[in-house]
Order: sequence, then C-alpha cells, then structure tokens
Amino acid sequence: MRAMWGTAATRGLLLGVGVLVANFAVPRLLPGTPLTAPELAPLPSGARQRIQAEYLLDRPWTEQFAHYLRSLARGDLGRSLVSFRPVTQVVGERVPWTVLLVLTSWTGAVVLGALLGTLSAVTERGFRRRLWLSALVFVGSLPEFLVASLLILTFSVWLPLLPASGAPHPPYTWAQVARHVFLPVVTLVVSATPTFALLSRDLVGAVLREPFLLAVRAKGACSWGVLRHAWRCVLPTFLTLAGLRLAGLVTGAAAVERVFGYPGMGSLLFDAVLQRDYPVIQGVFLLGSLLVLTASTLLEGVARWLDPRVR
Amino acid sequence: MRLVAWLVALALAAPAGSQEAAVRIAWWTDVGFPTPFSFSTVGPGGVVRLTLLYDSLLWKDDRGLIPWLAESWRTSSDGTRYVFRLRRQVVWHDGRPLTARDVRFSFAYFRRHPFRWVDLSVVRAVEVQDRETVVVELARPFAPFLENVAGVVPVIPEHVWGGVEAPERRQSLEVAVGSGPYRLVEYRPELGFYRFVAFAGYFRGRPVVREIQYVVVPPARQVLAVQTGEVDLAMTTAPEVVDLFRGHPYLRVLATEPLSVGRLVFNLEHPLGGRKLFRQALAHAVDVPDVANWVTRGSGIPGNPGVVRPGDPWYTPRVRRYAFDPVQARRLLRSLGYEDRDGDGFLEGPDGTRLVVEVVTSAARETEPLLRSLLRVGVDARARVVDPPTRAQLAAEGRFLVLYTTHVGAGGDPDYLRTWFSGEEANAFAAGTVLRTPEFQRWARLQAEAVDPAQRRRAVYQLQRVLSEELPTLVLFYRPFYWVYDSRKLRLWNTRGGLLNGIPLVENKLLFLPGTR
Repeated sequence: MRAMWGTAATRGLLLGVGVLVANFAVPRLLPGTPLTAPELAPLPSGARQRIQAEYLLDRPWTEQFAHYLRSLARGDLGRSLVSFRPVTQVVGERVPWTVLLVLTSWTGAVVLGALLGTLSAVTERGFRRRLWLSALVFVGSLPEFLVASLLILTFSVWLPLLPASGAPHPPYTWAQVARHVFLPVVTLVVSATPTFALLSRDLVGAVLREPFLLAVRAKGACSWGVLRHAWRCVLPTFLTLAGLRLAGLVTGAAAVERVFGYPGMGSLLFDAVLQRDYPVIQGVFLLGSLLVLTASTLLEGVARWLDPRVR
Repeated sequence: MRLVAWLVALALAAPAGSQEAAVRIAWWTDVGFPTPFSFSTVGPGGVVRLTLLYDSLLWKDDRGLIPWLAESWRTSSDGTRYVFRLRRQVVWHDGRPLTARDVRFSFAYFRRHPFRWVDLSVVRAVEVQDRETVVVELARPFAPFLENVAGVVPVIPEHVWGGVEAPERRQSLEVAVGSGPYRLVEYRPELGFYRFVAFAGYFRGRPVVREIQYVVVPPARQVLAVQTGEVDLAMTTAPEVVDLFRGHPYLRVLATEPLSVGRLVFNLEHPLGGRKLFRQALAHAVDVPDVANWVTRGSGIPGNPGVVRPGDPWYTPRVRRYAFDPVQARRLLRSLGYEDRDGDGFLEGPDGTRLVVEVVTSAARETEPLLRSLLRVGVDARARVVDPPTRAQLAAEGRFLVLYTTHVGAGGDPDYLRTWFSGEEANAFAAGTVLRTPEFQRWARLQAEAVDPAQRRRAVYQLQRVLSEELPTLVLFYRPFYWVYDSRKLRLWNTRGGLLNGIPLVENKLLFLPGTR
C-alpha cells in the first residue's frame, strides 16, 4: 500500500513540475504583453516603467521564472496587474464557486451516467439499444454553450422559473445560490453524462459476459444481485477513468461560467487572458491544476483501495 | 478549511433584506475598486461609478457644465489661470470639511499617482488662496480645461491619501472616502457587486434613492434581467428594444446621444497606409451608409469623414466628402499602380502582387459589409480576427494596415479631434497612429489653446476639414446606447455631450438627488 501511494506521489510531483513550467510559459506565449493590453496601455510612461520594473516585464524569461519560483516558495503568487490585489485573494474568492459547480456536476454526471450506462448494458440488443446509443452520442457531442443557451431559453425565457445568470446578488441565501447554480450544473451534467454512461455501459456490458457472473446467476441471484457483483468489479476502473474526466469538466466549466456570468475561476481566467494579467493567469492555472491533481490522485487512491487485487 | 467556512457562511447568510428605495443597475463585469487609483479603465463603467463616491469642481446636466464643488469660477484673460470658489458646507463621508487644501492635494497627488482617465500634464501648479479659494495654473492655455479636467477629476481627501505611497493597493472601505452623494458599503469583486448607500450629509441634500447596487449580468441577458425585475436599469445596443417596450406599463427606453463610434484606423507609418490617395480610394470604396445600417441595425448615423458627428454642436458640413464610388476608387488605386492585370477580378501592383488589405478586428460580423465593399472594387480584403489585447498590441507596434475599432467618446469637448491622432489618447480603443502633417498639428494646437470661443470654433472647423482631407481614420457610424429602465424607480435623461468626456452612460448623480429626480 505504501509503495502504491509512493508511486502516486512521485507521479504527482513530476506533474507538478510540469504544471509550474507550463503555468509560467503559457501566458507569455500569448501575443501582446500586459502593458499593451487595454487596461494598462493608457498609463503614462512613468507609471508603465514602474510596473515594468516591479513585475520584471523587461527582464529575460529566465530571470522572471526564477523570481516566480522564489515567490512561490514563499507562498506568494504576486499581485494582479489589473486590480492590484494579491492573486491568492483574487483566485481564492473564485475557488469555492468553481468547486461547488464542478463537484456537484461531476457527482451528478457520474451517478446519472452509471445508471444510464447500466440500463443500456442490460437492454437487449436491437433497436432500443441502438436508440440509446445514438441519443447518448448525440447529447454528448453538443457543445456546452449550446446546451446552456437552450436551457436558458427554456427555463429562463419561455418558462421563467430560474435565473439566467449564475451569480446571485448579495445578500443571498443558500436557496438562492442553489437556484442560480442550478442551470450551470445541469448544463455540465448534460454534457458530461454521456461520457460516463458510455463508459459504464462498456464496462458493465463486458463484465456481464464474464463466466463468474454466470455462476452468480446459476446460484439464483436476482438481476440486482448480478448487477451489484458486476459493479463491484468495474467500480475501481470506472472511478479512475471518471477522475481523469474531471480535468475536462473543469475546462467545460470555464465555458459554462462565461455563458452564465458565473463567478468561478473560468470567468476569471477569461478576463485575465484578455488583459494578459500574467500573475492571475498563473494563479488560476496553478490552483486549477492542483485541484484537479489532488482530486484525481484521491480518486485513484480510492479506486485502488476498492480493488481487492491491488489492496 | 476555507471552503468549508465559505459554505457554512453561505448557508447562514441572512435572507435578502428589503430592497425598497434601492436601484439595481446591470453591468457586464467588475470594474475594480472605486478609487481613482484602482478603478478599471477598460470601458467607462469604472470612472462613472467613481462619480457617485467623489465630486469634481464642475459637473454636467442636460444643458452642459454646472457649478458643483466650485460654486463659481473665473478665468484669466490669457486662459492659463482659473480661480475656483468652493462651496462652504461640503464635508467628506467621515464628516471632515472639504477645503481648498484637498483640491491642491488632489492635483499634486495625481501628478505622482496618475488618475488614468485624463492627462493632467497641462496643470502646472495649484495654489490655495484661502480656505474656499483655489487657483489652478496651466502650463499653457487649454480650452477643454473646464469640461475635460475640472468637470472630470475627482477631488480626494488629503487626510486619507496623504503619505500613501502605493494607493492602487489600498482597497478597503476605509479609504473609499469621498464627498459624493453615496458611500461605498460593500464591494464583492468576484461577483462584480457594489452597494452604495446615500450619504446623509451631502451638500445637495440626502439622495432620494437610498441605495444603488451594481450587479453583473452577461450582456446578452441584460434586457431580460430588467424584464424579470432582477435589475432596474440595463444597457443594450439593440434598437429593437424601442419597439419591444413601446406601450409597456412601466418599462421605458432612453436612447442616448450617438456617442459610440465605429471606425477604420489607417496605419500612417505603413508604406501603403501612409499614402493619402490609398486612404481616399478606400473611402470611396466603402459603402459607409450600408455598413452603418448593417452594424447598427438602422439605429446609427453614417460616419462623417470630418470625424465629428452630424448634429453635434461642433459639427461643420464643410469637409471633403467621399461618395460610395467604386469607379473613382479604382481610378485612384490605378494611379497608385494597382489594376487588374491578369483578369482574375483582383487588383495587382506593378510587380504582379495582389493588393491584399487585412482589416484587424475583434468583431468579425461587423466587418462583413466592409469587406464586401472592398471586394467589389477588386481589393482582396480579409478580416484578421484577434482579441482586443492583440489588437492593441498590433496597433501599438504599428503591425497593421487597417484596423477596425469601436469606442465611446465621440462627443462633449471636441479636443478628441486632437488626442485621437496625436498619441495622447487615454482610451486604448481610440488611440491610433500619429498624424504628423504640419497643418493638422497647427489646427490641433490652435483649437486646444484658443482663448476666444469664436477662434476656437474656427480652429475646430479647420481641423475637421484637415482630417477629412488626410483621412487618418474613416468613421463608419455613430450609434446610441439604449437604456431600458423601470420608470417607477427612475426617470432618465441624457447628460449633454455625455457624462464626463463623452460617455453615453446615464447614471448622472443628479438623477438621485432631491429636486432633480
């Protein structure tokens, strides 16, 4: 068990180094610089020089990277070039919103996908099964912004039941947060469920053909009992693969946040990229990557723990 | 841990309180902490929000400049000295009196820590004559001073900012002290939420609207937000809202003056863009009324080569006109050596290279009719769609031939005829390449420094003539903004020439004050 966690930690460490390098390089590969972006471009030359010196924008990349690593070692992510607030604060305000959106959507999509996939796996071959498959592939291929727009049209315009914007206005209650987050969550669930459904359908379908389940059936187990045995077998693989999809869901969440005006890390990243706000872009990438890595590592650990062959 | 605390806080949050007498305004993004040092300059939302918190020496209503912190003023005959007499009963939000020292401090402090919305380099010195009298001395006469400086620059308290070395980093409610009609009581940057509460000690009386809130609503859904009662005031550029709300029991629409402009900027340093005949050929090739109609869906005014909008008090019709004339466009291009040499329908230069005009834009749809116009005369016109910072980068580095931009500010004092083409424009979207012809420089300087109003008017007219001749820019349209509002809570009107320096926003603080609602 110790060796297993050790391998995961080493891989996490290597990934972390890769993430750090990518975080630093990606913003600087964008065309333009913070000083030519609309927010800072109008500054008088004296103020521009001060910012240039403070943020080392006139120094070579190597020097900037060394400074970035030194600051990071102190837990300092720097200050936004646009709002002049500490990046930890700027990004920290958004993290709970993104965690709420992504975790709720992921959980919803995993549960719903597992149910639909199992249902599809036990459906007899033929027209109904092909219809299931076609429907899942069709829904899964819809881009998030289209799903979001359709949901807004339906539930905010035609049937004005839910707010069209993702951000509640203070002072708000928990119920108001839930009302505002509902459509963004449904958008992500609709987009992610087919992947999980197809995955579980394949996994469960394959296991159902295994000889040991024939033995279970022969012993007189009911359908639920057979499925329980099947899921016991596929759960570790399903969770590992579902964990890998978490990163994709975070990316999808960025687009959904933009459509709904939801105050998460995706919206922040979009604005930061437009302003070439290097410290904030780095901060969002770093925290986003760490969140995904942590969640994936945890899920992988849980999956291994569930798997008696590894345990 | 922090996440858990946040979720608990969410769960325990107090139920929404009474919103009576509160006005909720939609905007599409956070605009930064509202001090003169940390507000966002991308778009005019930030600087307008400052005006609720801070006051300036002068202000504007629907007829133009009016006394504000200064109850009177006089100008020296040479236009370099302004004496302002301040009101006596003005106090800061913390109860301390506002004096001439604060005005002097503000200008001195902005010299070290710039107020990014206007260039204050023309202010040479500010002297305090007595507690209520302040004298502003300029380095040279500056005709737009009253409207573009005295009417814009916020006066800040010396007792709050004195000794602060990095004011952009001070972002707490304690430093958001102004003398304006509202106090900032809540700011949530992640939500773009601002809550301003009426200041009881305001010199014009306690505002009748007790609370103003700004909330973020995505642009495409702002009108829907007014319809559903989520907000009381929102903006759109879609003219269809006029018909949509005609006859509505309480929702009304106000169209602003058409102070938003869409235009082509030519790179005057480019071998081709630098040639006047080329720019004039393109002016003939573009069907400006068609472009204006397409982009503004019939609500805009076609562009004027003299830049100033027809209907503006400073407009003159005596400028060079460029009728849509593909034949004339081709003729001018032929004089530059471009003609269809191989019969493929496109123009080629003397070396056989096709004439390609790349239009840098961040709005692909809006450039479609423009490209169609150019294709009709045989110019291989292509859109290069980039995000706004990339566009600003290309503009700053001169790596473009033609650039399409839209921005506000085509109104108010006509000094924008100088700043847009002299490299002194604060708005990144309005800045273009510098027009270096002596005639432009001469009239631009004359209009800015003219003391005699008649002389200034003549200079502004001449400047328009020169701009229409030289064509550093080709204005395609001027369009209004449409404000949809709940008439049970607000009654809107337009500030003459726009708020501050030509901003077509409607949150004039006068709206919320007693006797002016």
